[in-house]
Amino acid sequence: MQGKPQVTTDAPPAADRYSRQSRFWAIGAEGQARLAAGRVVIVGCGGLGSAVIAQLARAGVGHLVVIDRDGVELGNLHRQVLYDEADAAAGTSKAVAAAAAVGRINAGVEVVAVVAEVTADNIESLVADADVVIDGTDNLETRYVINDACLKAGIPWVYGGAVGSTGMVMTILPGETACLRCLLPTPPAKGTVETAATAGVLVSSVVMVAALQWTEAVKLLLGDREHVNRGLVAFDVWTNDHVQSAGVPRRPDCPGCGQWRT
Amino acid sequence: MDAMSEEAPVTTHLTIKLFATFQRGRFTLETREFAEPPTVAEIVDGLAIPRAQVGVMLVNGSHVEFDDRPADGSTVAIFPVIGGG
Repeated sequence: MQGKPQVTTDAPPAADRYSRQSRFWAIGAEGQARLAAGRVVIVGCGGLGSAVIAQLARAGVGHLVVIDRDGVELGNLHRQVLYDEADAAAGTSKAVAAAAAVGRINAGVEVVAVVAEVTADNIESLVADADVVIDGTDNLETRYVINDACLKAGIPWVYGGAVGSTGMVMTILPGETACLRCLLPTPPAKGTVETAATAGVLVSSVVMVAALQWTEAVKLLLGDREHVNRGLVAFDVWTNDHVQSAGVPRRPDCPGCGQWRT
Repeated sequence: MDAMSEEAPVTTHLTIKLFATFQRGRFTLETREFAEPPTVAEIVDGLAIPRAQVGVMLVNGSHVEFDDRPADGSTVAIFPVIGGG
């Protein structure tokens, strides 16, 4: 029998939608409810940000704030998985395009788009209600701003970086672990850190970093701190290398976390 | 002269891994021999990597500083600051 395919706009029942995820031993129905109540702020909607946003939306994390000041460009599309040629042609704001994509992926997720540059002046209000903050930025200056604000507010955040075929991830738990300034105490001189624009980057290294950031965020939303990665993860997808550090030492004189030590 | 009494020169063998932009024009993984145990700084300098560009240094998975001296047989991993995203 032939006929038009039936289309429904009704959202599928949550139990069906997340059944494969909630069957995972660490999540379950209770964990899925925690994810639905979770609030995540994603600073930067480029390669890392867009991949993490897509995964959080698919996982049913209920409240997302997506922040970026830039518009989508054609040169973003090879690695920034939420956007398409129409976004690039229109130069649509990444935050707006990301929020629209979240709406298409999962209508049950509340998403707020913020088109703004993140600075020391606005970061505290932007992250105030977050359970977790995700680093989707492409520069060290903004990461230090995130670091200091999250330490002050006691909000965990997940640093991620990718260049070439190398990626790096570190979870910062204020008062418990080292912070970004413990890892990188001396901010590199401006223009000396290579990025996708200067050294190139593979979509696989970006998405792999984003996947690890998503995993750390979900552990935190579930309250499973036992399994949060306390070390630094670094890898090279091209040369097949993977490094897990034993733990980043806290610096007694750290200008970031020293004054908030318990 | 008793040849057995002569002490063989002690050398230090280190496996060095470079990541990201540090691989360009150098290598990804090499085992190198040093006449004297080098500091991490001496390894970095010997590879013509500007110290200011180094972000993370690990010896056998533990974070180290420039003045640390990896023991013979160690694996040294050197990363630039990873700022992209």
